[in-house]
Amino acid sequence: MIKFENVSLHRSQRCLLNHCDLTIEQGGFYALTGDNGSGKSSILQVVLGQLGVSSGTIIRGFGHGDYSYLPQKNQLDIQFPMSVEQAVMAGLWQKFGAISALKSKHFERIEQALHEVGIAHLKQASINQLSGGQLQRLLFARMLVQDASLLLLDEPLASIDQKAKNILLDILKAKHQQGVTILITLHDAGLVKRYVSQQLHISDQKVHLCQADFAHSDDCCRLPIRQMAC
Amino acid sequence: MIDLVLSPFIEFEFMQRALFGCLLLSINGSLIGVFLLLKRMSLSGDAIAHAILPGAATGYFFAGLNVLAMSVGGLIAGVLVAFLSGITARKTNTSEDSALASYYLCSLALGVLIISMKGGSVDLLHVLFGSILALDNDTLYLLYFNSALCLLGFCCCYRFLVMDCSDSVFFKGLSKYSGYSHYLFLFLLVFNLVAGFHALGTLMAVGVTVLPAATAKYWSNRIEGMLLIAFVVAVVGALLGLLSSYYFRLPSSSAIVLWLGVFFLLSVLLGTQGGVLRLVERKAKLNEEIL
Repeated sequence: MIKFENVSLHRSQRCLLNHCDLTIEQGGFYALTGDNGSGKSSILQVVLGQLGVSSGTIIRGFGHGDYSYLPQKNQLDIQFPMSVEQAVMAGLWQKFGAISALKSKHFERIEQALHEVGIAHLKQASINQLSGGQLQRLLFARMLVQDASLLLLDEPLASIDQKAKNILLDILKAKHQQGVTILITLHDAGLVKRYVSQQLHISDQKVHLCQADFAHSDDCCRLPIRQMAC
Repeated sequence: MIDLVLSPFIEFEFMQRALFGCLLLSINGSLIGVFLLLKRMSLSGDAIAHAILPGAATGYFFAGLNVLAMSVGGLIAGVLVAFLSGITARKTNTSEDSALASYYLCSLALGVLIISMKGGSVDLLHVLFGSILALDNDTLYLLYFNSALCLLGFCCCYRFLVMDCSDSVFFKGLSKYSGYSHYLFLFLLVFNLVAGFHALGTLMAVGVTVLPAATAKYWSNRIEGMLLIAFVVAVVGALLGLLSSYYFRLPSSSAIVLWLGVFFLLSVLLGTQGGVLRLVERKAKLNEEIL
């Protein structure tokens, strides 16, 4: 569980959140929506502890290795001389660490994850040979092998085609059904409606919690089912 | 032919020592150089190589050409400059490369000043260009210790370094120790350059670190392959450099680095991973397909 208590957040002297309370329940599938610059990515960074808040308290019910984060701007160095399989292997760090040997079950897990995202045929390809969409699938595969209990995804579907979007969202849906907590920033109202159970909409320095069925309808942000105290 | 290659090393002990020293430097140089390249820090390596000069010069000022004094001084100066540039970049509004460039230039100037206060230009040449053909026991022990330390460091931290180089943001989420690998790497780099400057001098030490790695990048798209190729290139370059120096009376460190430069240029032209010839071939093939 993640809890924001009376949190204010500023970036570059601009107020993004003003005395907000917010609770992310364990096992929930949340979509974080809002206009560009409303603070979606910043909230994810606050959750991770990468960004400090101006005031208020954050309670994080997770530790190092319990979460997996897919940032908006991919930080994987695509010129790094490694194969797709090796790049996905990085997700297994918690299992093999700095010294332990990799076992066959680890390679099987990688193979399975690559199958799930549909790039198993590229296992031995160098990562600099991948297209933008294939790279995004690779990052998803790396996230899957982590078996993290909390997934934080910052606009992960921006650079991929519709078919790949559906595949990746189906994977997230399956993860949610297994009890994984998911917090994802999305722009596509249709996808929010179809896949996500709860929507956190940011507007006017406030976060509104609405059921995703109401997402982007006029009622959602005026009369949220439960408006967070902001 | 074989006799031409082997006889200098069989006949003369100083050549054996030089070869052994180069072999030790090649092991570390290839390891560190590949990661320098992958971290896009090749020029930083050059800057730190210059930055060790005032420390080595201070050691020289107090103890003459004493290996231990110069090494400790060089190590302190190198680590200090690397640390100061890191802190300046993180705490103020500047990038790490500009901070490093500023500190190393001051450091280099200070080093030259200290040396000129005590010795003449011959001493300065010794510090700048080393003495690979006159390696004494103390220097060989230092190189040996340096190799052992670097190999141990890399054995323990290889995966840390790979993770940090390939995706540091992702790695931060996985390990709370992720930030330390960069500093450990900088320490190993400084230590390697300190050991290297006794043999090849501050200016050339970075050459045996950077050039083999840059060459290897043109031949392999896997890190394991790059490490192996960089090591082989470094050893062959050192061997050819020493032989050229012996037969043609050339300055040995320059000869070694120039041979490494030749390998690099050949790789730029012929390399299978993005070499000029391969790019031309690919373009011609593409044109054929379009037509």
